[in-house]
Amino acid sequence: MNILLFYPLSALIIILSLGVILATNPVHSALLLVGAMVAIAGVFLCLNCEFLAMLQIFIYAGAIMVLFLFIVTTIDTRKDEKFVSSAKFSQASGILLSGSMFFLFFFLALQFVQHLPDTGRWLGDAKGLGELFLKSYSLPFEVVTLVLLTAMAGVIVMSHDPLYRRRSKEASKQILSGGNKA
Amino acid sequence: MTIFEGFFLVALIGIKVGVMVVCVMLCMAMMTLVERRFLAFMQCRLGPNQVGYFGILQPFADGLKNLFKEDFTPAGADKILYPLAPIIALIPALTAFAVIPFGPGIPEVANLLLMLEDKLLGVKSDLSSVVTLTAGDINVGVLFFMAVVAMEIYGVFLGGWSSNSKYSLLGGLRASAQMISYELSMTLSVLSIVMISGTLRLGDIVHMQERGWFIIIQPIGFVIFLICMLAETNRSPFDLPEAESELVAGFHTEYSSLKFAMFFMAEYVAMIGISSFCTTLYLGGFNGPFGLGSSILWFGMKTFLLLFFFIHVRATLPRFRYDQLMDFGWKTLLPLSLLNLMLTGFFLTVFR
Amino acid sequence: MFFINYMPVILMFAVAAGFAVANVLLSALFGPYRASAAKMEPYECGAHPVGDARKPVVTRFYRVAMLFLLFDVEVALMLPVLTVYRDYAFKWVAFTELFLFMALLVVGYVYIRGRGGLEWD
Repeated sequence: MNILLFYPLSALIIILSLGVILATNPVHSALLLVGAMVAIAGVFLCLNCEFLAMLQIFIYAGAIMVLFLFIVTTIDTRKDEKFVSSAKFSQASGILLSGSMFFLFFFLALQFVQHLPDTGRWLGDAKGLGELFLKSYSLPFEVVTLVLLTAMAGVIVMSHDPLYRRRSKEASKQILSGGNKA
Repeated sequence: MTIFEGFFLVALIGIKVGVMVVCVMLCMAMMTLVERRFLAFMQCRLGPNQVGYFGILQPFADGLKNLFKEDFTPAGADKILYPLAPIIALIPALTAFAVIPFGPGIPEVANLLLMLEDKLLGVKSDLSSVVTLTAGDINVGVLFFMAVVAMEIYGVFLGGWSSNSKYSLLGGLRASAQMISYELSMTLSVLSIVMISGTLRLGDIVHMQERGWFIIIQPIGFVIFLICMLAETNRSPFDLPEAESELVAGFHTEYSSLKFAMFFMAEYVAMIGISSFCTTLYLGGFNGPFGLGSSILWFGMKTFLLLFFFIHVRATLPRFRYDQLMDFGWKTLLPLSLLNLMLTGFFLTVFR
Repeated sequence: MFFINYMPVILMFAVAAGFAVANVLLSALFGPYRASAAKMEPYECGAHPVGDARKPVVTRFYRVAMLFLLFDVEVALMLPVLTVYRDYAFKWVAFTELFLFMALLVVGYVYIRGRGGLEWD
């Protein structure tokens, strides 16, 4: 039953992913990627991992793709639509890279065919995952926070332009001194 | 399980889901009327009272009127996303109802269905999951609801982006930034409930509240949830995306006819959905107060109380300024909900 | 039959999608269509719109989304631990682990707030 749903879902994911790279408009790409993420959640459901399926929607479709859409609004989409074709070098390297990636995943998949992992047994529910976090993987669980801490620092450093801040402060001071203080 | 049994089961679920969607849509229609009437009473007006008794047909008249209005697409609009945005707005709002436990099972209906199945197929299968008043009480119901609420951002954002209007774009951006900011505090306050109940299944959470509602041990969480509820659905005083005085109508400025109505439907359905979720998590779901049994009527009353809170706040409070809104979300609510989670964990460990 | 549990969700999605698509199609089917150049213009209170609406906006929205994502990932990591927290046999082990996690989260929050990352100016 589950395997019957796996094939249409995979086909859907492949079509949506092709749409992501072929669409000329970045917002269309992002939206197709959202669709692909939700379809991947369906694949997780096929593997009896309902918790991971919901996390897939919650994190990837609900948070990461929102970030992508926000990034799209910070670039000029109309101008970038013209740069569809790219240089010969990047095309060649792209084909080489994706080809080697394909073979890597192909042989990895062949490995898994021989001994199927029973993912549903422990990844399926939140409780099993939680006990794993508390017992075997308590150190990685804490270390992940450090990684996220680094990411937080990165966000602040990258998005924080002191020059912009000073200018906007002066501007708001001018507005406020004009008797418009709220 | 034979194939006929499977079809029977799916047909039953389909009927249940269909009835549920119709009920929700009727609630949504009545909600618009109730809101207009309440607002009118609070402002010493009469409100719409001409169409039908007490104006009860007003929502349907509005819907028909919207149906026959011109459906136009602005010149620079995105041809695909412009009609798609209201669809994307409405789907998650409705899908969220799939996991809400509205009431306990009705034994009469269960017996009737078992008899029917016996007569038609000659088998007696387990219909216990079908006859409850929950569409699907999945194991990760809480997370499912949160994920679907997170998906509600897309309709608003795409509606704003695809219209190619400055007001729409600003409204959509504001709405989505506001929704993600308040979603964080909401999720953190929901996590306290998960911590106390130790489950993600909404049915179990309701059963745990038979002796006492979670609002008693989670007052801070409840207040945070209440505030985030207003912000998540872009309601007053957090209705900056639709601030008439600055953004015309926000993300749906350029929409007309039923597409315009669909954004409103999505907003009201989301309001009802999130009120139901709040009732389930904090107000005991379908359990009556003081052990007074359990019924769908209790659920309806509590949800309506929360919806009335939405309307009352709209009539009472003025709108936030955008920087105040962001400050409140990130500097007050987020630390408060983190503190609430920590206190919950602390007390749970000490007094176990 | 794992999928039968998710049948209601899938059916609900299908019904919602059907209803939404039908609404959009209906509104295109009924109703007049009288296009004019002025009507198709983006609404700007009567003035002619200047320039394109989809101009790049400031990066503060990006910052908000990025911080939201980071906190959301922390929430997702905490979630499985919280479901076993109440009934875990060694309660002080769970307590220490979770509170260390949350303390690091708070450190991150304090850092962001101290650097002014939450200012909306």
